[in-house]
Amino acid sequence: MRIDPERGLWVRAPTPLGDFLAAEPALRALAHAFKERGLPGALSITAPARMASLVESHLCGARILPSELEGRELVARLHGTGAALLFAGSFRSAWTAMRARIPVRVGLSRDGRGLLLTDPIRPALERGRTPLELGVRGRSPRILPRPGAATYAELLGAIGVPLRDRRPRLAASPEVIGAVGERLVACGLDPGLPFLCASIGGATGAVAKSPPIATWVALLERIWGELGWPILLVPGPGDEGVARAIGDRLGPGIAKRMGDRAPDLEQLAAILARSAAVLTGDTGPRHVARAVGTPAVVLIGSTDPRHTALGLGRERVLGTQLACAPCHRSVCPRATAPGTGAGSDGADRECLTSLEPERALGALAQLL
Amino acid sequence: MNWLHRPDPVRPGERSRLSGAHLAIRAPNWVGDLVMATPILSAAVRDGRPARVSILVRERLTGVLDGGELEPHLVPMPSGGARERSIYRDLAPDIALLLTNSAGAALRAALARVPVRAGSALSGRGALLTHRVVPPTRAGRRVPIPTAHLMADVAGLVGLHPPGLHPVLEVDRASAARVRDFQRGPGPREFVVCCPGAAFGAAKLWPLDHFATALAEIHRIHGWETVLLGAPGERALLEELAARLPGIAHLPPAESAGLSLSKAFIREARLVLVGDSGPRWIAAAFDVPCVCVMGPNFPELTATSLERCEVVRLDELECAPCLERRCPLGHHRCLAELPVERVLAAVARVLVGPGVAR
Repeated sequence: MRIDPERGLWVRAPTPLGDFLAAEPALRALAHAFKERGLPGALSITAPARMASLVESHLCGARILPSELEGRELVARLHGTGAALLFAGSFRSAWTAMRARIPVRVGLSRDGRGLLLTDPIRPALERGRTPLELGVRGRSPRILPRPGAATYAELLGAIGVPLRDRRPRLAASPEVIGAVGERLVACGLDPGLPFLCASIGGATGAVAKSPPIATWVALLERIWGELGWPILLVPGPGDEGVARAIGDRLGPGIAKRMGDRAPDLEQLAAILARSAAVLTGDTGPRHVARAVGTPAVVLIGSTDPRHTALGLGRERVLGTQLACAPCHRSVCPRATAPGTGAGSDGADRECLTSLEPERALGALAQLL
Repeated sequence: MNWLHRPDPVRPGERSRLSGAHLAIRAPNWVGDLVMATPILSAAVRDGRPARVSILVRERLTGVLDGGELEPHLVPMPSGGARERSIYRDLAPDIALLLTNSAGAALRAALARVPVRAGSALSGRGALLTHRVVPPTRAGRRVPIPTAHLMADVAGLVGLHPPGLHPVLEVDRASAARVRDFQRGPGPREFVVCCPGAAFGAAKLWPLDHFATALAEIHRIHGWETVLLGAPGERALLEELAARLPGIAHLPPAESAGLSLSKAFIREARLVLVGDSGPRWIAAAFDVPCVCVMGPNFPELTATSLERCEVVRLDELECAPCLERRCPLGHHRCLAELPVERVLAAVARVLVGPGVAR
């Protein structure tokens, strides 16, 4: 380790679910490194409480500071810490480390925070023409879209800790697994038979990441027709209405739902662990599926696939090349604006609607 | 459309898609890097979008990739820039994906007028590439990142996304049969493979006395004899080490040695003890426990496939890593002072290590 472990290390984990799970192997490696030196409490990790609680058992006694803890209180708790490793790319995380007078601050130098870091690493850049299979190139300064897992492994390497196990790991408690099992039976799923999980939505506010209802219905009808497996519709928070509408169109013989509320993260992990496969957009549940080892077919539209590559072999990513993709917008810019129709061509989420059901079926067949 | 997201007009003769293209992949020239590149090579031949995939690889290294799905796509290249350029001209690929970082490889692809040339912007070759990755930097200097990460970044420029970083190799039937014959005949059934040499240079060599002490101790603890492997130019080194391990070291006959046979031996080994060289990556491809003694290199450059491999090095030296082929200070402390006990402790750990997570 190239830092003094006795002086302590503060790690700011990323907040989005997918990024947090991509960072989980690195957090686990750090926790083990501190435990091996007999200093488990010298490692402090700031992470969203609902996520940290699910991986806490892997973190060997590291001190968890919920990300809800902010400002002066967080700064006060970090006083005297010897080093900060910033997996989060925010300006605020670097500012917090500086305010806490942490003498060694390691992180990516972007969004103007390089001056706040003592070891600023300028991210990889992309130069030249638009990458093949993409319609548009990124905005200046064209930071290279890279898998978070690769970046976190490299930041870990920068402080001299090797990453051995790169697979994220997540497990629900036995109580939650049991309760989810009972609810699956109650909604009509035979516990001895496989089912497909369709993760509807799952990215708060990012409508463009999930296919429209008609596309979901066409995809799921085709899959059901071929595999004959029941399909469990699992909405993300705020997407319950969409899941209900899809369920209504497919009918109860095909689609099952576990009530009207979206599951919490631990319940989602238990559901995905029980599923034979997952069909999902490029959203958090995709990463949960990775962490519980369930194969996933990922429908990718508005995002650059390079951000989430290195799927450890149990994923198939489906996308289409459009002149407007990847736009990285939360709402498709080509959707007709309600009431006006202006500024758009009405081709809402063509990047996802143009995916043929046959391709999803083929990808599922490869994984199963 | 966001004005910052600009469509890039496709120039005449240039492809914007991988689909239907002839993709030529210029493979690395080092054994280790070539093995690291195998997830990308496999992803390319399995992808289905390119009309044709050609893998340009040095003639002496074809043994690394033989015996599997990559073999039909191999285009062996003799040494010499002119030959490589003429191969490009004969193949007339649409895309050259350069997994080497040399300026020469980019220059030859450019001189052969390959329309799309993707690679890392290293060795001052950025202007020769149509698509390039600038690796991370700190204070203007390149930050050491795993070579496997950089190659995956470069592959992403042409729309190839390998599903993981775990290397994949196959063993041809003839080599596998020879190892079986060896195990049934003169050789031991269970053995350690040791590769003490390094093509990079003398700076990567752990002293032979240290190797001999470690291998003798492994034999005492586990009863495993040793198979010594190396490049044809390392034969004298192997014989010298064998002489220090009377009765427990075996050398494959010189005439049958080669990368194909080395792969077959490593696949069957219980353990691989190696310097910072290519066989480490062959062991990773077959999930064989491995201990790697490292001297003048950055550990970050090779920090992938560590599930069953432990890298042992001295962290506390001010002169390391120097990246030099010969110790510039003449003392070679980074390896000469690396104690056998640390290597043996690492052996004990990798032999009881966790399962492989790819």
